[in-house]
Amino acid sequence: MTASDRRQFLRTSLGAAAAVSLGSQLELAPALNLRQSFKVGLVGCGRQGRTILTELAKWPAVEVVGLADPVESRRKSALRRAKGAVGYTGHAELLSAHTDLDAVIVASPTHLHTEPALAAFAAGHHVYCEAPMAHTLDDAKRLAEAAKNSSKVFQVGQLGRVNPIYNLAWKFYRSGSIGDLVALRSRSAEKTTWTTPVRDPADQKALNWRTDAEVSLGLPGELGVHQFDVFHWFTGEYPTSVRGNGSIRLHKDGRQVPDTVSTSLRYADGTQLGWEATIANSFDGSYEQFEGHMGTFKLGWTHGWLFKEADSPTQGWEVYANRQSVGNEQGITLIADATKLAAQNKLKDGIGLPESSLWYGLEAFIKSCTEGAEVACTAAEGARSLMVALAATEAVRTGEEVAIDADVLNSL
Amino acid sequence: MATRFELVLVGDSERELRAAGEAAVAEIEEVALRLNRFDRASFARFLEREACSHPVRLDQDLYDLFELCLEVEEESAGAFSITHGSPGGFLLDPEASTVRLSDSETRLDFGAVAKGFALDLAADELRECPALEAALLHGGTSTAIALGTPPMSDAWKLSVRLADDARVVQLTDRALSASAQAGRQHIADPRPGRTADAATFAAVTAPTAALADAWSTALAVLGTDLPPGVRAALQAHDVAPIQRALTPAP
Repeated sequence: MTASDRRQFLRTSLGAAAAVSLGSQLELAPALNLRQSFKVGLVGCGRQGRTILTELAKWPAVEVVGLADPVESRRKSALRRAKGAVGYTGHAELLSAHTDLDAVIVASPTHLHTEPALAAFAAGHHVYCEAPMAHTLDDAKRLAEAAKNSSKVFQVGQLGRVNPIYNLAWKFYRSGSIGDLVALRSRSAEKTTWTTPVRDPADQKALNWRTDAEVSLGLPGELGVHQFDVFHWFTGEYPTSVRGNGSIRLHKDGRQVPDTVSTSLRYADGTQLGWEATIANSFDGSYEQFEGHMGTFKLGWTHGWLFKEADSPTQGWEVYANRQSVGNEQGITLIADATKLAAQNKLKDGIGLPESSLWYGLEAFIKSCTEGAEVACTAAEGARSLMVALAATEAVRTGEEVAIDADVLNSL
Repeated sequence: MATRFELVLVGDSERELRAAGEAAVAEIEEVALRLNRFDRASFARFLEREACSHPVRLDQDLYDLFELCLEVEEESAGAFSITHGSPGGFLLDPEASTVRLSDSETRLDFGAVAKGFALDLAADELRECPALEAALLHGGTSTAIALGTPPMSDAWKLSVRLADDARVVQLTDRALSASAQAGRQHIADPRPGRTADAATFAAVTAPTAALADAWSTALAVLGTDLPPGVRAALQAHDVAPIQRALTPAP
């Protein structure tokens, strides 16, 4: 072994040792080992439903046997992604034709989640429900109640909780790594009309529900609910009130649902979460930021960083951590499965996520169904996030401060 | 794909066209996410990890893509291959709609066909839009697909440029793709013991963009002196070649 080899060996060994010292904190959960057939029915074949089909195809034992959507073009498109599946116009036909399903995945428009989810539960199936889980608190309560009284799994698709990078950050956060919380900040930005071309005018309401003020929860409901949940999960706290405003900055096509909103969610201890969203501009994408007196986490779904304050004590493992420039800051890259990668001297290969967030959500769901694993996001958690999102929607609509009743929230 | 796509949409309703354009771009972005070999969360990388130990199910679109790749590989005598530069290949099971890689080191490179595949799926989305009268889509200026005819004209006219020459190709409901072995030298010759150093410019028009993309790459590798079998295959698939040698073959 040359001196150079020895230096490399020493560096690798030290890096591995440093990573190992963090132990299980950095390791991914064991992969799903699904041996028996797992039969799934899908309700809702829009883009999200079709993406779900793509992810489900990665498990050989998962068999999508039926799918339902009232819009023919979507049904046909989904059937191209699920060989052997049968298409139906509604969930009732799907459920009556396939009584041996293991699970039903509900990916229909938000205001059409409740009935198929309740029907699937009543038929004795596990249910994965896209977020937001419902479009009214009453519906969410019905679902949470049904879930409470059932031995079957009900998982809400709030995906921060299953994302390995977020789990890593959560563990660091809970260990006090950024000190006392100073502020919370979050943004969701994408340039899109939120509309779909319609071939048959009869499909207008079914396809363009996001811009229909009668049923749409707007940006706080459709986008915010996922991000609010990340803050609840990390802090264990829910805001007590929300202020907000919104307007239509770009899409002046007659819609009533604002395309740009800004909200401030206040917590009992004085912490504020500033959350803004737009579908008129894509700058800076989507992220959640936790700012503490000793550091900041910035989480952007596929990437995450820890930024240390200058007076924050340095821990031994940080010497070997991967660093990236983010704007004017140097961040420590949050890398899932860092222990294994550091041992192989491949830490940089781990930047990003090996799978999509949705894949982790579905994997967690199937694990809960087949192995009894803890449900990643329960109906109650989904309902509480929805309650916050509904308050934010109302604050944006009225321009008034909207209180969030802690008694109601805690009863969910 | 790390390239720029542009869409020209013709119709009266800007609102409907923008919505259709977004749906088309979403298809392109999804293909990029699924087939990007540089993204470890992509489906292509998933296949590289998993399909060597067990068959992996493909949706109909991806199965059709694999089948097309296999067909062009066979008919071009290996001048086009998505597994080039790596050991093994892939096996398709049409009954189960699965793919299996024959070696754990087999790598999947869709770089010579992904743009065309994405454009075909985007065009399918656009065809669903009743407000759309015509469209021209391109990816990276090397692959394009035309739907219908533009206003005041009987075809979309695309200029295929060479250093000292340009040729106008007229397209209606048809795709065009161009590949050149000159310049960046980015096309590998997948055939054992061969190097793609015969500088050939190849463009083809074809019924689909994926077919055009794959065959333009194969022809850039094969050079201008095409074997009869290749010519027969091109004819059978309605692929019309436009080739030109840039430098003499060695």
